[in-house]
Amino acid sequence: MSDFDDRLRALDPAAGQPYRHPDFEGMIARITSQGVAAPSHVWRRFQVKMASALAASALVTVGAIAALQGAGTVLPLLALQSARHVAAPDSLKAIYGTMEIRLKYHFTASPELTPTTPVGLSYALIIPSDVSTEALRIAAVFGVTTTPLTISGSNNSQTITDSSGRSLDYERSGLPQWYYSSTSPPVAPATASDTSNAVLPSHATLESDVRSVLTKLNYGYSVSSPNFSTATISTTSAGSSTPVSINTESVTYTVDVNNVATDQSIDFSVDANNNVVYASGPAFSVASTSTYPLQSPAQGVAALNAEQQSGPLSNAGASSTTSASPASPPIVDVSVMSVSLSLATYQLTDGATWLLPVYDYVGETTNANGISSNSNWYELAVDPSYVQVSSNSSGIGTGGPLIY
Amino acid sequence: MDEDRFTRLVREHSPAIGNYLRRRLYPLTPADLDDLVEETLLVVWRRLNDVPPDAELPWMIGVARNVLRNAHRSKNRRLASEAKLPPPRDLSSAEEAVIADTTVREALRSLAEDDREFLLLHAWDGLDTHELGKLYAISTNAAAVRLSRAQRRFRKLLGATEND
Repeated sequence: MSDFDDRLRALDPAAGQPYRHPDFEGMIARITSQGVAAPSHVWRRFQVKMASALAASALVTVGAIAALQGAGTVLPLLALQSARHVAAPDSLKAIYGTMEIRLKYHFTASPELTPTTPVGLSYALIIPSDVSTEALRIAAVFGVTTTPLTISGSNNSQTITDSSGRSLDYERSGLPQWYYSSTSPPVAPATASDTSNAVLPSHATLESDVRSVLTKLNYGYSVSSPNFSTATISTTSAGSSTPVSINTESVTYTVDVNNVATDQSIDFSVDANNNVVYASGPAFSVASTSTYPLQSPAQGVAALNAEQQSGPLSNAGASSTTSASPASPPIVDVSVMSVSLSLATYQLTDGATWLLPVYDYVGETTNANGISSNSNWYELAVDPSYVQVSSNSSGIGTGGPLIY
Repeated sequence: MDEDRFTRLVREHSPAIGNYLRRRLYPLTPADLDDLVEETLLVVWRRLNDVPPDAELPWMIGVARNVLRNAHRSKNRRLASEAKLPPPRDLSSAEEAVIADTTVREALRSLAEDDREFLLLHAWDGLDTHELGKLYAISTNAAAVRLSRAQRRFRKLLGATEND
């Protein structure tokens, strides 16, 4: 296990606290005494605790819609499913609360924060309509073609494996993603070392490999900002329990649209013989563009602060009717030093996927030991009067459709 | 027969379910944890015939995830409607262990949500790629690729933070 893994596992909040229900046998008896269709007494109890929110949220939304319609905006409102952008497929995004890191941030904008353009391009995306067809097309690009092919999956995902073990997975929840692997490893490849003891293809060779694949994929997006790395990974191929070591050269590119960075990326790893070991990336093309007014970078910083106070998106500042309240999180000061514009993936309530301009802030924080570090923070840059976030959005699940 | 299987599932997996929920509890409180576990197991009981024998734990974590999601949603809506000041600091929290290591915290925060979830389900909840695949209804291969990618990104972010 690497030092990174050690450090991560050392921070497990539940380590050393084996869970056991305080009334274990009683709980089993209570549950098994219920019929299959019995309503949940526990959930009902929880619902009673939380019931007051529904009506309030609905009113807020309706009021906002009425106000916006009255304003007579020319551009269509962007009805977002969630204020959070969706770099991940829905199936993953829905998890929410992976770990809400319990800090509250206070942002201060530097006076030198450079104003950006007053408007920004937004892009409606075309998502490949047929999962099976698209998966087969991408599989062919990566040479997953040795018959017989094994094809499995559903309406939203497809796995194609050829007789040599090469595999292509395609998922269409949220922004579709493809994953290629030269093997079908039953366990995750582990990084044994950050160095390689083999002569690996040059960066230029790897770059050429990526561009060749992108040309064949023909999505029309470009890539930039390559980040190269080497590693020795330990992996196990299908049908074998013996791990083998593979030296890899990897690169991660940012996906660009119209020369603007997006929240999407392409990953490629090749072995010493320049065979692609792993690759992954998004599947989309641009359908159309719209130009929306932007709020100023300073207004974006104010919005970051507002989100820290509001609770639903930040999960900070909680109050509770239960006997025990969560501890209020420590406040961390962030000095916002610079800003740039990039694009992030959002899903609208009508199911459309868009790339919208976001401010990418670089902020400096200083810990208790006086050590400073920089982090990135993102805020939707579109003027808020053109944005409506679904009342159901809390970073979880999807909101109901809003019709304008 | 059903009760025997259910009791076995609870004995074998409720500690993992409890810890899965405990790790992701906030802004709910420790007082809610037992209710959430019981709610999860109630769903398991009601859908006992749907529990796949080869993926019991991932399936149960999937249920716990939905129970927690609903609870978070309810809690967040209530907080949104109240918008009150935070309460006084009166309880230590499990997640506070996380913020002790600033660099890891920043690296995790900077990680995309799906990468973070994959990383922690593996590192903390102990799911292997077969189980991750079952949980997300993707192939083991896709889960392996995705986990590997998340690990690589985390290592890069951690390295970048520590080099600042």
